[in-house]
Amino acid sequence: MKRIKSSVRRNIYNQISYSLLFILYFAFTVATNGQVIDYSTTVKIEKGKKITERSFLIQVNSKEHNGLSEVKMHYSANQEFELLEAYIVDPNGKTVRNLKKKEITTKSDVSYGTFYEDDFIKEFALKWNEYPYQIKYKYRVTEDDFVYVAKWYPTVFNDITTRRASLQVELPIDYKVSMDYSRDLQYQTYQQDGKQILQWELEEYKVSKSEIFSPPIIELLPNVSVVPREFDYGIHGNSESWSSYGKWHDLLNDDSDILPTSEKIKVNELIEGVADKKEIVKILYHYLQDNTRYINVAIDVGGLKPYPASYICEKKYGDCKALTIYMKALLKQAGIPSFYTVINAGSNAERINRDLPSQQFNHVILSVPIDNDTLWLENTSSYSPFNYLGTFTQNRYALLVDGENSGLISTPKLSLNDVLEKRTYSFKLNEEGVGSISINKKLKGEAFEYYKFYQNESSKKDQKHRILLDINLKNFELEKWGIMQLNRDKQELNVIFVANCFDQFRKVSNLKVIQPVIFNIPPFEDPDLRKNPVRINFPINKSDSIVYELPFIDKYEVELPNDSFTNSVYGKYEERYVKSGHKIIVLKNFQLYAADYPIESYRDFFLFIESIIKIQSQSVILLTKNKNR
Amino acid sequence: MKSRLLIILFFITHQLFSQEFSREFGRISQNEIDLKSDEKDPEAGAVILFDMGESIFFDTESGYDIRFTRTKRMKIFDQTAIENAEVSIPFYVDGYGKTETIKSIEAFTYNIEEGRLIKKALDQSTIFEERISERWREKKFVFPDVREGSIFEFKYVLETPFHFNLPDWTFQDKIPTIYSQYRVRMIPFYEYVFLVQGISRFDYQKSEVAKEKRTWGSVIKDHGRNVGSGVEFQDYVHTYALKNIPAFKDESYITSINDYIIKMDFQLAKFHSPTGGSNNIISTWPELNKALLKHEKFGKYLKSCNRFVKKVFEADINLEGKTEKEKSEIIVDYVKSNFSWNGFNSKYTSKSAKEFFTQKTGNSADINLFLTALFDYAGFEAHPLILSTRNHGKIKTDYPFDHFFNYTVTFVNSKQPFLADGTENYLSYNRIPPRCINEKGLLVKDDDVNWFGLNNNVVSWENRQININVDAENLNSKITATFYTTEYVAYYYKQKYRNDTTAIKNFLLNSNINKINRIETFNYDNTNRPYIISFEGKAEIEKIGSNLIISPFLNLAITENRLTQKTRSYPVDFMYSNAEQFNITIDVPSGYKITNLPESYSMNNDLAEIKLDYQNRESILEINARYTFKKSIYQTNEYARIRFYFDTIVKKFNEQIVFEKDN
Repeated sequence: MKRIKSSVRRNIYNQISYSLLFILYFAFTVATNGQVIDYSTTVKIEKGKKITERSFLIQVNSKEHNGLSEVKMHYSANQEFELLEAYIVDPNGKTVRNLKKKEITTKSDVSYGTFYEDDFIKEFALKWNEYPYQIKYKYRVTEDDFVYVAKWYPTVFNDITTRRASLQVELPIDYKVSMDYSRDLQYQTYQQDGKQILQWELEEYKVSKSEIFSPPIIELLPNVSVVPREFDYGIHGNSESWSSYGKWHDLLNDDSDILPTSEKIKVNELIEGVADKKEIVKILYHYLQDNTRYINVAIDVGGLKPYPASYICEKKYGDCKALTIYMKALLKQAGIPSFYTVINAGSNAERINRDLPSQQFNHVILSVPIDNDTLWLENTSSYSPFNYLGTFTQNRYALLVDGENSGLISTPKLSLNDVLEKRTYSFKLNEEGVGSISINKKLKGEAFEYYKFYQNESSKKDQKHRILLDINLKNFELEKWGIMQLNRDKQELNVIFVANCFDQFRKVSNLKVIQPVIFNIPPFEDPDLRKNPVRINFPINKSDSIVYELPFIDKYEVELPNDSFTNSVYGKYEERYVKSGHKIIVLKNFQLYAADYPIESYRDFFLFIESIIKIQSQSVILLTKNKNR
Repeated sequence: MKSRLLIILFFITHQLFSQEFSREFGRISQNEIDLKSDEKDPEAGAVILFDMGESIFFDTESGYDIRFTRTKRMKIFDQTAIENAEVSIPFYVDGYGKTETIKSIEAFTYNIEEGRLIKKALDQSTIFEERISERWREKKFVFPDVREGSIFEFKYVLETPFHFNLPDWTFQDKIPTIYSQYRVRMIPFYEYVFLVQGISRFDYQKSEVAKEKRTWGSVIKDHGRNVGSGVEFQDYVHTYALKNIPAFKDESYITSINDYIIKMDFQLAKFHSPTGGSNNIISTWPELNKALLKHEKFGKYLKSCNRFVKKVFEADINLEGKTEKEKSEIIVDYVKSNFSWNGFNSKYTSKSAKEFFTQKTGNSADINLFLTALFDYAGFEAHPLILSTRNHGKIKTDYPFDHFFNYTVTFVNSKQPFLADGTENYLSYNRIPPRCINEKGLLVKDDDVNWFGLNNNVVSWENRQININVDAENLNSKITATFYTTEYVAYYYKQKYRNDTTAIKNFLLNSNINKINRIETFNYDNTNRPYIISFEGKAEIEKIGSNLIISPFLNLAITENRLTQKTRSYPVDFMYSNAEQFNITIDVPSGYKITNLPESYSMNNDLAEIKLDYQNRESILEINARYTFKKSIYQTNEYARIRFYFDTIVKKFNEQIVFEKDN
């Protein structure tokens, strides 16, 4: 569900990053095989306009891979789009068909989780019946306002090799840019006809597949970013430094944090008599949560420029920018300064390039300095606890927008204690394995966010379904369940589960076998197959205590597994078994630390994970009938 | 005095029905404000207070268009249902003068603030228009200021020139509806038939003649009599209403919610010309067939295929000396390898035969009508057959409604008549895709009405040959296995994994197998032979005490009964009859003996067969097991038995074998 939630908010920020990255969106939607023979992009800056031409030569090897000739081209309302050519070359090298204009269709391109945006997709198909055939097409996009000269990846499809990809940027001689590019690209630059020419090229490239706990694929791709030093987007901006870039953001937001008088009165009423600043922030944050909701509408410069606070006052809904500006306005009325903070959100988000001040963000939060502390406000969630960032925005760089003083800051990390999932299982069983189970899960971190989402966004029926899916047990009939949070700002909740059960012992020959509930460990790739490094964005910390109350136990001999403890730089795992009177108690603890490991360490990391799997698989409690009684 | 009495009466009536809610747009009653949950469904997060539609025929320059007005009011109880405040209204735009328009949208949100009812109007600038596709648009808006307890309502007017499709009405939704009403004001020139689904009668139904007189053409009154060439008429007003309609609940293994949701559909049946005489539009199946055969995007397309079909036979296909079966295979293969399906299901073609032939891609009708023409040219008796795909819902044969159908395949009347479809590569020439298997289809042929059953009784098999070689010392076993799949099961594998051995590997690794060393597949391109997946791998063996435990089925059989509900209100529809067989041999490790061997089992009746046979032959243990679901559809009265059989399979096909050291 975490995935659902983050994708809902992923496109929150804007259409810009979306349209710039369109190639990748494209890349990850088609899953077939074949090859891109040539993919070349040229970008020209002429008279303040940016003209981008993309040209594709794609080979389709068999009918199986015919999907490659279904073309989708993304553009937005403020861009001028023109298809320059599109045709088929048959196996003999003959151009056999040109696309007709009426074969092109247009539809809106509204991304998941967004209510409306003025982006479009042009589509056509160029199919042939003799293989291998090639399709060639080229289009041009022209725009006046842009924040990137180029943001380029050498890929068209995610599982298809690109034989040759190139980018050429042509700039007026005095046009200043900042840039960064991957070292595995061939780069050259020269002057020609009074222009600066920048060229990048790569041969034989294929995107590696996503793997468990790996950095986001987009971060692993070769890429080029070229940012204009001076740009016009809504208003004039400068990307010389994070300070100047932040200042542009500030100007874009200018005057948007003004509240209507009625709302000012409301704020005054809400905080009347409250002196503590933190308490005031909390009151106003609750007011925001209770009266607004997140809906993303991205139109015009809407990608980056927020709707003013008055828009929220009227509609009581808005996107992250508008809701954040509104929250800022509420605090301003209360005399508390706060800062619009742009961030790249997601539980496994691409890390920003700190050396290249530019638009690398997809979300906005608010930071509120109080005394020597900072409060962080996520304004798009009506149920997020006060001052809680969670897996969506923790531990990363963000741009705090404060005029000349703008700059990168880092958000706090989720600590081991912040993500603790503590589960208590109590079984009361008779000799036949019939009895009752009660479970209390005390959840923080990702699991907390997950259940909070279900509690607030899905029906009772779906909540129950979710709880049942997460119960690692068999043979029971649910009696009672519930999701409880002590108060709305508690960064923790409890999932309660009570059931009648039967057949809880596995019978093997003359043994009764108890297999304590295990931690689910994801199926990590074999070290021989693993391609990507490891990234664990936030720690995992699980602690289980399982109590079996067995009144008949004296009739049996009990064989408990040995206690186990394994410790490494990656984390630790522990299991302990105790028999006490009629009870058998199992205690388990698993910790995995947040870190990045290079691919070279993967084998060692994998051994640690495997050792845990092995211990868990051998953890069985055996009950043998005592013959003396 | 008289008027006063009236007021009192009104007041009393109001009192008597105080539980009723206002159905007037813009007027909110106290009852609605006080409403805290739905009486019948207290867990529902929101309720539709009323949903009312009205269609009227209004005068245009060239005749009549239909104006459809809808008013709907909802209340949110719980924020989990707040997405009901997001509205989208689809409409059709064809660019050739046949275009629907949304004339107006009004929307209001009502909240109680400090004891007062505050009304907030929708800002018209926040209504967006999305292009869903080339032909379909959608008006979208979000109600302002919606929270728990909000009441909100909208009213929109849509005008449509499509007389054939008088707007239909769905009475049921995913949240409960307190009152739903549809009113149609008919004019005498168009006659419709309608079909109601999901209920046996309306809570309220009335038909009456409107008081107002309307005219068509030039009406000249002479002493009250019309002496002009036009006619005078009155609307005929039909009202249908339902109260307290429960939320629609989805169940697994159903064809389409279209088959079960409470709704009414209208179809134009007759046109009565105001100048006298009348035309049956579609009132019988033969007429529907005739109309299709004359239709530009059906029969005419079929005819215009001939030119291209001729080219094909001149250049690409040679049927000389071939048997009927071989010919059929060649023809279907030709279509499958030369044309690509664009993913759209349709009964009508999307382009001309020429465009289809040059573009080499099209919808199901473009492809299958072309296929029909090829068969016809080759001397077969071939006809189009129209059907409704599973997600489109069922056909009611009592009603000759054109809109029941959304797909065209080819019927070939050879010695062994069969249905052919050119959209899917992984099926044999005489099989239609699973999405098309939905009761029956109509043969499109002049003067003749023939229904053709789409379910075929061929069983789709999955046969698994598995050898397990136990390595007692290292606690693992070597697995050598070959899976043979046929028919729709083979189709499923091919479609899902596209012969990508890595993907198949990952699928297998979800079972008890934890390492795969070698994997091969066979017959991916051959639809006449079973699709074969063959591999070698390893599985771990569990050791408990001194016992070695083996799961011979490797978790490959069904591990969970998906029929979880105790009773069932819709039939269980598996699409096709299927069977699974396991032939397992286990090499018993030397020095070990079997201490626990599950019992053999057998049951067989008209619904299903389950059979497990364990043979312990000293050093080799043989398990031959299979189950067959003999039908593709099981009725609700068979549900309990089917559910029980599933339970039995889950239990019996997941049993384990225990070995112990033989001292």
